[in-house]
Amino acid sequence: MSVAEPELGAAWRPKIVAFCCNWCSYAGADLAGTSRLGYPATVRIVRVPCSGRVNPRFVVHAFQRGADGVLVAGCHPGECHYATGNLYARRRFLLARRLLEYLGFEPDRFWVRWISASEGSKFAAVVKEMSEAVAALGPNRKAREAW
Amino acid sequence: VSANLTELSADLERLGELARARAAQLLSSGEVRLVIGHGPAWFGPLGVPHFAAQAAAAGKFVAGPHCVAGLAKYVLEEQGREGKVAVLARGCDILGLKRLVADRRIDAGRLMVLGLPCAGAVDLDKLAAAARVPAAEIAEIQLSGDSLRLRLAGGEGLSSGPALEDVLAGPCLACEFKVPADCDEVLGSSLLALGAWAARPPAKTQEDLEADVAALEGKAPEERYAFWAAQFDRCLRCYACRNACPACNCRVCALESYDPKWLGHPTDGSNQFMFHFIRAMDVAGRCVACGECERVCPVGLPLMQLSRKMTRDIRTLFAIARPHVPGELEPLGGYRPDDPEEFM
Repeated sequence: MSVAEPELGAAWRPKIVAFCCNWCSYAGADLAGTSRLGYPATVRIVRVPCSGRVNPRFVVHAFQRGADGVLVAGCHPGECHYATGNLYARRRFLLARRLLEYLGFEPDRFWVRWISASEGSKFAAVVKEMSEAVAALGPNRKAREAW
Repeated sequence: VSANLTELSADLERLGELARARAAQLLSSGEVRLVIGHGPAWFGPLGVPHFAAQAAAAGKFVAGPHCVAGLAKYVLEEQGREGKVAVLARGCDILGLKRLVADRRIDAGRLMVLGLPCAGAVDLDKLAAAARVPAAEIAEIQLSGDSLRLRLAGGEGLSSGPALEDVLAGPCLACEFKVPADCDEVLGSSLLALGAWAARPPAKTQEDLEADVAALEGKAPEERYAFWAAQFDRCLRCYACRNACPACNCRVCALESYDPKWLGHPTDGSNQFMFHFIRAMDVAGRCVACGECERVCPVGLPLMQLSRKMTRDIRTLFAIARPHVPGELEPLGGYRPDDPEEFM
């Protein structure tokens, strides 16, 4: 990745867990790297076969374990490698996102974005934008395990 | 309608008679091997689910507003045995049974639904508040016309109580299924007072019940989190809500899975949040709005306030008019290419 991990004792920076689908968004992140696009090193990518693989429980689990923000990224609707996985994911996360907000999470803690394999610059821009939004919210304490 | 309301209680007695007779007939002919319905109270004032496997045991079935427990989930326990099971089902039970059939958890071919017109069920806490007595003191509830009569613990006679309509359980207020439909048989269709009572339009719509959801949505995230954290903090994790819910019917439950271990045992805020998130998300789109989760909760968590949120969002996002009625395509078991797009 383009920027080094923060030094110990450095100022707080958000931790963002990004679930990226293998076929589009993970390749998009790869393209951002090979194109030498800079983006904040706040993001930890988890490669999943499809955005449809992402159970909303993964999102809460990430928050439990210390994530300050969670991003789910997949192929654009109509471009899913498995034809319809992201269409199921879209319904699921339209609801899960509203449920998280209802339970008290700030809307910017959880993002879903469609990022294709050719959209390296979009990946970099989304991570940058989300990092700034999460940084503005500060560290997440909600649903977090005692530490 | 008001002219024959005095007949309402008598009609419910007659409905009980019809249920007993039909259950005895089905059991003695061997057409079904078990009938599930409500029997008399053993303790407290509420009717207790009754299981009749012989015609002689069918004499215990009753009907009335003190029969509050949902019956659908019991059928799940009876799967895997030969023979048919009949259920003396009110509208909410029918929805629950449809849920289990739609989820392919019970075989419709081994189920006989005997639909009962319903006068609604009492909410014991509302009743206690209206009668100004502790709920634990109410020993017996009777219906007289459309008003309730109560016998208190240690007491002999019945004192007059509130009107049934004023102490109905929350889900009954918006119930559109008091007249049974989609069942194998309907009992008591000739009971005119009960029929007229059941056919009245519900006092509230599902949208009316969602006022508490809208109110909470209007608050700041911190306030919402504080509200739910305080609620979840009281949760005992007894899983009564899961056990009573006809939509919570997975063969392997995420709450008890060790691999993957979704949920830790400690009842700290983090695990409590995860539990309630899992429950709300997993019954989303499959909840039948029977309110059993909330009724059986020993600490009185407003669980339906979560379910109503999901139902409300499903209705508005996916243009599904009545998400709580089991249909062919579950909201999260499908998609439309033109679903709302906010993830671009």
